[in-house]
Amino acid sequence: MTRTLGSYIAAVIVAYCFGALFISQGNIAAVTGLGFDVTMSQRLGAIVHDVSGMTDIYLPLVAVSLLLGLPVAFAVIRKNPHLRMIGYVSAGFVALLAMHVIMKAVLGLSGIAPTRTLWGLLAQGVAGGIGGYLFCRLSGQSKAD
Amino acid sequence: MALRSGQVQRMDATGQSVSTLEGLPESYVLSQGGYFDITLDPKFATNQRIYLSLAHGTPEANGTRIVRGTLNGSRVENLTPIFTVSPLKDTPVHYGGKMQFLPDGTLAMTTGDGFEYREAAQDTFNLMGKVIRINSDGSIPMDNPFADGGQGHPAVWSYGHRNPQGLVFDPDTGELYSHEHGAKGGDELNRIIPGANYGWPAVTKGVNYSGAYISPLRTAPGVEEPLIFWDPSIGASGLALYQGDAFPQWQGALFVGTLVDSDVRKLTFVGDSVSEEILFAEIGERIRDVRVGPDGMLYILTDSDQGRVIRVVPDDLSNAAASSDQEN
Repeated sequence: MTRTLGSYIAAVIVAYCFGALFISQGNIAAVTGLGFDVTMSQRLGAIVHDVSGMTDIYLPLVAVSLLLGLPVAFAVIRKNPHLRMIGYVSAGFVALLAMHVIMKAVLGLSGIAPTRTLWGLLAQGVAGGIGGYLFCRLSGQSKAD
Repeated sequence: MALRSGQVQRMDATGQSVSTLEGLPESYVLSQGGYFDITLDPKFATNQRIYLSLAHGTPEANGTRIVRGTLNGSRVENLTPIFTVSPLKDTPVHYGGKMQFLPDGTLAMTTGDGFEYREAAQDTFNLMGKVIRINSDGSIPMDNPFADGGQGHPAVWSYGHRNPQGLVFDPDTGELYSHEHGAKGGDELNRIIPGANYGWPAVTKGVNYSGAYISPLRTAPGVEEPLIFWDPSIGASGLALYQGDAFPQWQGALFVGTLVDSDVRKLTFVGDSVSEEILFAEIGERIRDVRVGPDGMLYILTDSDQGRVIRVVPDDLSNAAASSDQEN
């Protein structure tokens, strides 16, 4: 149980960091697309700012998304153990994707600007998938132990 | 008073009687939609023309529109749409819609970026996120900065705005001022220069509501700096220039209502800087608009289902009225 909880927390933190990173770069891509120059130091500064600054809203959303998504994967994997890796990765991917789609449906607006584009939305799924992958690897060690 | 419910009301000078204007077109009422602003023709005394800005359209395709009509009692007649922001959008927010007649008889209006279309504010061919300038019949003046259409839409007067909620002209200095809602921590007051870029969304002092940068650029070459910005945001709403006689100490000051802080800001220019004073916090309600009446009094409109119009009078008048009430 402790290992599962630790794995979940690690998955949330990593998914959050990658998600924030993708959001940060998505926003900067929009700015450069308008013809403005963004230096490498401004880009790096934005990553630090955004990863450290999105904990109020985005981090809890990631946490809730994975909290809902990973148990669904677990239910499937119990009956199909060979699907363990793809199950958790897919669950993380779908969980973050669904979070943004549901937010848009409820608010009528995109809470996270880069998710207005398909690539921005898919990048969020990738962040969730990375979280799911990490959860799979870390929680799986308990069986090996 | 233009209401988001889609009605426009008229209050008499005593504040005792309120009537609803009839004959107005249906507005798109959802979220920040409805009616936005009303302004009188500079020759209203002879032509009774009024101009109203409103949200027009459907959930799938809506935008800010200006209609012109003739006021006949409580009825508006001969209504004609004279300008509609294009392209239309599918969000019910960020319309702008504040209007101001300029001394040459042209009409300026702010437009919002529609929230989901913020990059459009930097597209000079797109009318969202702009201050536009038109003639009173909706035609486009030949001296607009992009009048020839080669580098932008002919109606564009300035660009790079988010959701401007105040617009006022100072006849003494010839300056046009506007303020706009930033995102989180980016409300700003600007001096509007024809053809100028005000930065949104590439250059801003605010951040996304999520906490992420909208852009790491807070300044950039070729982008006008705000005269003042508010961080945290105050929810600037309504903008008035005081030039009345009732408050001599307020001459030339700008007044800004605040939706978030529920007060009124008095802004005074001191050289190149702006000094700010917080007034009327005791009202304790979201302030939707601030205007100066022809009587020189300040009128404050609060924002709620039970919104109020508050008339601010000098102490001596207030005391006189109180004495009169006691005598009666």
